[in-house]
Amino acid sequence: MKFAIQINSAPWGGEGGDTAYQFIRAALKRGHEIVRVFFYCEGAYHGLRGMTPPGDEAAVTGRWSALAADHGVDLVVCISAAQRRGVSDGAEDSRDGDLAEGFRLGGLGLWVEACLKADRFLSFGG
Amino acid sequence: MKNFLFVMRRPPHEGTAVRESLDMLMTVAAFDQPVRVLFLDDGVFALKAGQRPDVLGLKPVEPLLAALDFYGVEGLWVEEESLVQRGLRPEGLALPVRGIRRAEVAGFVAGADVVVNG
Repeated sequence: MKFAIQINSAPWGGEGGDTAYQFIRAALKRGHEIVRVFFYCEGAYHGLRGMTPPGDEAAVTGRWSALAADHGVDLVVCISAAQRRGVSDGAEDSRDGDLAEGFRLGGLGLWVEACLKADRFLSFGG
Repeated sequence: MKNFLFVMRRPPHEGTAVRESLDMLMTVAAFDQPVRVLFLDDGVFALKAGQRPDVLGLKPVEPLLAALDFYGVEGLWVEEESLVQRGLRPEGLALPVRGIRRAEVAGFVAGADVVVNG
């Protein structure tokens, strides 16, 4: 089965991202396909590469990057949600980008497209 | 082609959640997919007429809702019990909406291909 995933909650503001991550790992293990993971609203913060949680806590961003590297999962941070929250990929301004490896910015059209391609759309974190 | 249903359950000025949901909704409509909107629980407050969020420096939601018709959204539904529980009446709403009973909501949601938490 093909799944389109959306994450709305911040990495430190609820279990949405964590539950989504566990779901995706389990789905991939069973041979399902993840069409795209779309990070929206506070979920946009998942892509921040500068987050350095204490060593005994889950490396939230790093494990998403690993998922992209190991399974080719498309991690898209909504560009309008990101701009609203100061998360940049460096293309729009002169700063270095904020995004961790494996993440990219994209429009809401990519979310709609993922919903249309997928058999199921699942939203995590409100 | 898929039928999208946005279920709006949050009050209109609790952060940017409602506006961001409406951005999604308009994108779906721009892709020419059938879209319906259901206001439930505190989400019904978005429909109340006469709100002045500008007094608090907040952006009004009402013009966005009023524009949905222009985007080809199929219709707006509101759960009648949610209105009654909050002391709201259909004639006190800013937009024409269709009422739906709580007992009908599950069937209404089941009829959609994609359900989005608004």
